[in-house]
Amino acid sequence: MAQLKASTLIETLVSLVIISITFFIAMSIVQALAQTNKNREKLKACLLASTIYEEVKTQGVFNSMSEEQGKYHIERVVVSYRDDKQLYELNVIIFDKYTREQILSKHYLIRNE
Amino acid sequence: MNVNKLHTKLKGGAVIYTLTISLLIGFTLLWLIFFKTIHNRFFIEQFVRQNLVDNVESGLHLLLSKEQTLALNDSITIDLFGKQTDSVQLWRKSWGAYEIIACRAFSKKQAILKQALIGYSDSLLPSLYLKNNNAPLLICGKTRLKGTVYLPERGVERTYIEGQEYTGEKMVYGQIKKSHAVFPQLSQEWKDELANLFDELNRSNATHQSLTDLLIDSLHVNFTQPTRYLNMGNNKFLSGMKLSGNIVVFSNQELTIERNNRINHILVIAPQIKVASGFEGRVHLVANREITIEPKVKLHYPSSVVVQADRSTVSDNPVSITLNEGGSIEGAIALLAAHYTPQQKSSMLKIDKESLVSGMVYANANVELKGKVNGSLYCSDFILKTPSAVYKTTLLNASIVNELPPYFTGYLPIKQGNKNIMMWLN
Repeated sequence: MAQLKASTLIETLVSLVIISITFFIAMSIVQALAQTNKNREKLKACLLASTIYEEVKTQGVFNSMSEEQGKYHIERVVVSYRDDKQLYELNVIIFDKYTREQILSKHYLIRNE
Repeated sequence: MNVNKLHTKLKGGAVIYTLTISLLIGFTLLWLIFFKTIHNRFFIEQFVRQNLVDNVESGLHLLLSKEQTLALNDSITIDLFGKQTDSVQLWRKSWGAYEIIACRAFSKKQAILKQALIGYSDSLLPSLYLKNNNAPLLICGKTRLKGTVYLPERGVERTYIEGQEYTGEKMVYGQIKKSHAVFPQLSQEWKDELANLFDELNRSNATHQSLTDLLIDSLHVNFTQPTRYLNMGNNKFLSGMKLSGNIVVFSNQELTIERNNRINHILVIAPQIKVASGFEGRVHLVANREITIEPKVKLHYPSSVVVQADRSTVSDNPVSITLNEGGSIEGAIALLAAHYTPQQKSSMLKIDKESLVSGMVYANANVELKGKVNGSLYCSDFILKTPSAVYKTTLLNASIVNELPPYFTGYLPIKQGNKNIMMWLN
């Protein structure tokens, strides 16, 4: 190491500034990437809504209700569809149980056989 | 020694090292961002796809509802929930005794299309509905009536014909209800569509291909493609063809479907249709004069046989369907005479001995039943022809039962039945 050329003080300071900025930007990006998981969350909620839809369709129980499943708070709203006696509109709204933030709202048509 | 060489070549530029490390970090970040973008796109696509799947399902529910938002042979684009994000295109068209429905949900470049052949299901449908003609139903021989039967006010009586007396312990193995003089009607929309079928085919003749011009022996048309209309022209025989899918074969004269055809799901329309002995397939037949099904023909589920009298020639146009010995039809038979009167003996539905219909038989005319109906039979009256005489309202060695599963789908559009999917079409 004794044979290495010595860096100047200014060079060292510039290097420190560059590396600091680089790390700062890197950390911000990594943090931002880690936080943008909403689409995944939305898809999971969408699949959960589909399960609820299947359940209502199979059981044929057309009641509005709210329930909690895991980290979700779910609200089902059932209304008749455009005055059709056989059709119901099911609106499934899924919230984050802790933050109360709405993740998804989905509508389905179900025929009462 | 090598170590010394290395050491002598190194320069002490801290900025160079810093930039190299920064570049490496930059590339890593770029890769991370790229990966995350792909990841997000995947989730968004999955989400959109799931929405489309759900919207298609909702659209089909709308089409299956009793309160129709769409007329037969029409299409419509509607926003399902008024949010301008759930638009679907819907189609309905008649296909023999049944109906094809289609729903296409779309969002930008993505689209999902689902099509199905639908019929009616009704677990409360009776095994027999015999119009009240103020005469009792006479049964003899090995005749069996099982399930709920609607009979004239004078009920059912045993009789003795051709040396055969009634052999059953009970007259009816099920519930007896009173039928009315007014015959239960099929959907008016469906009947109107059938009545217009021939006119529409002739009007749009220019767009039809002649079967003789097609130098092919097999044709499959996907139901996602437009319907192919094949005009038989002067050819009276459909022979040696393999036809399947969204195809309408039509003729303006008598047409015979030979045994050597392989037919699946197609619609055949002609004034008179004959199905040659031994034929097997899945087909929908529509005529306005006569359909004759020769012995040992098997029409598999879902098939249908429909004859509707031409409304323009009421009195001179008797209609008939004949299912000969050993034949079987899984689906529906409908014989729609113009105006039924007891004297109108020429309009006739004949189901010969050892033949079987699984599904629904509807005839506002006389029925000569010597075979078996497993499902539901609606008729104006029964006729029994023997070598020595003709008997009215009489059954000899006939069988009417309903041993189909309660969820069976394939009945005709009658009363309170629910529309249901018989099969998905590709």
